[in-house]
Amino acid sequence: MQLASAPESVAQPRARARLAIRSQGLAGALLSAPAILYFAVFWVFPFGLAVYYSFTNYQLFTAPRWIGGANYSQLFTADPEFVHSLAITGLFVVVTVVPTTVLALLIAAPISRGGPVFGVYRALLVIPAVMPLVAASVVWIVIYSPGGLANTLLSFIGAPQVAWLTGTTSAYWGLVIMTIWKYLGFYFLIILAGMQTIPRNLYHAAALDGARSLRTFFRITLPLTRRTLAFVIVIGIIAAAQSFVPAYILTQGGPANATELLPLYLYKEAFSFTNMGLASAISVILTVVLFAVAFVQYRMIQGRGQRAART
Amino acid sequence: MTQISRRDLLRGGAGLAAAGGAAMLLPACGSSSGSSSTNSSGTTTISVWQHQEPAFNDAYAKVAAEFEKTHKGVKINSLYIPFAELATKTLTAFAGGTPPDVAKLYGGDFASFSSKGMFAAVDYKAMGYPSLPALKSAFMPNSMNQLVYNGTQYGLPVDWNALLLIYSIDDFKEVGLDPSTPPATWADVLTYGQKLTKRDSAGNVTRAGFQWVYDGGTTWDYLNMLMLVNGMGGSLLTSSGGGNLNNAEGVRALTYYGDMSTKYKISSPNITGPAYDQGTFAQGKVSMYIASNWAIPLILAADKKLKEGVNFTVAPVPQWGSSATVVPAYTYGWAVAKSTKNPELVWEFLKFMESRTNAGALLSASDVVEPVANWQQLNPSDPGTQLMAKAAPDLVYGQPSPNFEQIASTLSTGIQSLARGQTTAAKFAAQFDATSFGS
Amino acid sequence: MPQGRDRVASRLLAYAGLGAITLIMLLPFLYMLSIASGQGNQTGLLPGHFALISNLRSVITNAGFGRFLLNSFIMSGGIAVLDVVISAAAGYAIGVLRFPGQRALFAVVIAILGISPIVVIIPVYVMLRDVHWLNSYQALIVPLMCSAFGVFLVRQFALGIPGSVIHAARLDGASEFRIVLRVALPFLRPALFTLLLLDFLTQWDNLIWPLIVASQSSMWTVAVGLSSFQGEHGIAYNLMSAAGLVSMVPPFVLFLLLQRNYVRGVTFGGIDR
Repeated sequence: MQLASAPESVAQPRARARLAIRSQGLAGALLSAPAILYFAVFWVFPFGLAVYYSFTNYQLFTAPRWIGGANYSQLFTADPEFVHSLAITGLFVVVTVVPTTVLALLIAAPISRGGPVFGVYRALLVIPAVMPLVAASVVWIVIYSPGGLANTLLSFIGAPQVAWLTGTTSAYWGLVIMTIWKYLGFYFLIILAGMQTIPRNLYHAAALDGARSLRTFFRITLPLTRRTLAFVIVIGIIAAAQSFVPAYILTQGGPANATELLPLYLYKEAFSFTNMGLASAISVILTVVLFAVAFVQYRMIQGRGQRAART
Repeated sequence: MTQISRRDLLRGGAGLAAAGGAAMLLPACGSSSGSSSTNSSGTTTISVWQHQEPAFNDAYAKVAAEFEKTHKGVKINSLYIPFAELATKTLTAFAGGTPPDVAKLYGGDFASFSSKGMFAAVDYKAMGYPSLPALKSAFMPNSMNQLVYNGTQYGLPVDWNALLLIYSIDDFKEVGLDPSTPPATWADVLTYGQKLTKRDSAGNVTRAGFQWVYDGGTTWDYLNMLMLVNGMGGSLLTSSGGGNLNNAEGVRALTYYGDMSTKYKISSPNITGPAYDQGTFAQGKVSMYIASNWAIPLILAADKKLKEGVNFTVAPVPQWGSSATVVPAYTYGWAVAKSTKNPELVWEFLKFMESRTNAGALLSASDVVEPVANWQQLNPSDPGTQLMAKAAPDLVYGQPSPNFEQIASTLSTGIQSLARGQTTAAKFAAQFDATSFGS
Repeated sequence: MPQGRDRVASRLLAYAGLGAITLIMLLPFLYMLSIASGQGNQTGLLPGHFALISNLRSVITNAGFGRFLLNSFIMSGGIAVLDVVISAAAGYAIGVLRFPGQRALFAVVIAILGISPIVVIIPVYVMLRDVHWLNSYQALIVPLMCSAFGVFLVRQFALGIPGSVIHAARLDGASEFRIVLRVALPFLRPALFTLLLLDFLTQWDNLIWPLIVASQSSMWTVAVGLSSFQGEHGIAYNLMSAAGLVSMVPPFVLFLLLQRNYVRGVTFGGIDR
């Protein structure tokens, strides 16, 4: 069945296939070269510039002026708006990623087993993901408006009306709900793809053994989706922390900065105040935090499972 | 397989950066595109950027076409940018060295943009005037003030607006107020507001007797505070550009603003809708509010049964009554990029755009005001027009500051909190003054 | 038999639960249909007049929307295809092969995920200006033609390729590239098609980049076109929603076309379908 871990070296080169590359090192380098070049030019170099700018006072139209770590110290000691933004973004990540992941798992599991009815659901569930973000955000403005869908539904169940986008707390949770709604489809598609790689015979064997659905889910589906889950959670955290358009359109970060997620604050500093130096510092902090969180999450979820799966 | 260590990260990053650096040694060739050019066939192109506003864009396009007809070999390349993205796109273009020749930008930002060297000073000679005062006399007095920075004129006014009080004649009649005597002072606003406001059983405002514009963005919050603070003879900023609210006038103004919703429950941040205050006013959820003349056609569009002069009308903005009359105003401005390749032609185009005939055409087609001298005579029967023109001696735009956006943003956050009872006037005043704006 | 009953019961539960969730998820879409059918700014649950067709028509014929759709197609399609190819190569390499700098590369890819596009925009814009690419299709596509997201995704899926099969192929004398094409690719199909679709969707929504890079509106995309319904004094709700409906069609059609790849499970060697 499965061998022990693959040997380090490659097979002996043969004379006949001259263009065949048998060195993993060479193949790996060639295959990843285009991506490396792309990342270097379009991401690493500009971000390197941004790191440099983060130590300067740079107003876009005059030359950057070196000020050392002043931007960083200002952000943490003299900028309550930044700290506030950081806090609400952190909370935002947790309250959007967790429910979305759980929901996506729950709906992907039955759908991945196949069947025509589930096929219809699959197509329908993707619709929110396919709705253009700008238009969808505007629809949600209407949903949250005083006579809109949200309050109408609340009145159906006898709950009090909520001043959704004009209240500070309600605007935040309204944004959370909208974000979960919008990105569920994305999470769902990825997890679904991951579940497709689970061999069917495992499910047949489990059924023969008399395993019930819940048990199958926890013993077979979930563990074998571990790799996909690790991916989805890391990506989800990063995407949530970089969420821009919904808050931008729904509330412009208001009211009174209640929904000023970090990307909005960054955008404001960069393009409204032309404080490129400070904006760069914020982005560096965000990148470092996200990398740290992603790394930890990834290890936690994938770590132990990895050794079992990769043989 | 992937134990990511710090060493790996540094190694990887350094490697990529080196590769990236090498890639960047690609030749950085030639001049930038985007601004005007003359190609070999002799066509000179002028690029003009403005935000999308269908009625104005159409009217403007006709004027631009006229100019092309009378200037052979000249093409006006116009770009209409979604309103929310105008600043981002223009800033990127200027910062990236590819600015348009002409841009129509918000007046409050002129100080910032001029201080960065983006704009060319208004060339009155190329416009055919012997001196700057001569040019200014072609416009309504005080209408060009917001486009001045450090004593230099950097733009020509277009889409100029002074604030007006808009009130519902129907609502006045309903509660027994005389529609021909709108509130003249802020004290009157409270009295009238109390009578006009309707509340439900839970105490929530269902009809605001007087409504602050809460959803107009940072610029409206700025204008409202300008109105209250400068109206008292005070000033939002100190002469060195710092906050100036932590004093008697500032705190009184802030208190008045906040009390309208928290203490008196006359206005409410929760009254809002898709067409903003024009919509809620038309729906009868607001009896009085402060906007400008552009609101009138929007109100009429929101409810076609309404008639100006019959159901609602305009009045001058209220005053404190104890100091000089103050009417806040704002304008957009035609600005010319310093790096434009055809300055003479561009100024000629702007002179044409701001000619009396064309100002009239723009006004009648789109209600957008180019405040040329005696522009109000182009629209003699419109009450809002006459009121705005009458306000010329009393106009205030706010002290020009390169940090306008930061000031407006801080102010806005504060008064939005204030209106919801989440802070106090004294607290915010102190906070505002302690904020250092800009570099 | 207990498990028979259990299976039926769990199936019904799944149908019902999924049905409820699907309905809730679709409510905003149905609402959008309603708004798009209205006139002006009506926001009731049901439109007062049925103006959907005329709103759709005015969106398509005015506002240059046809051009925007074409540009969006070229941009999103170009980026999606390029990204799949480049990311698949790199993701496979990082996930399966052993080469120097591999772990560092993976770390950098993760780090890049966390870089906010906002600070990267202006340097890249200047780069494009210097090579005279502004206002062109390559400016829309090339700076976005690969993604850390894609590399990460493929790598995760590549990890799932059983090492034994690759090892066997190597023992058979297959070259590394042959292994990629014959062994890895079939296994990675669901991931690659998912990536294609997700990239297409993400770039379909990209607002800031096409806006900045194009100096003529003829190069703008659907996302910019939608943003234009947001004016200084209000939003044209019915037109924006109608335009939103029009904009949904190509991505949804793409999804339907790619559905086939979700129907069947992965076949791999002797493993049961």
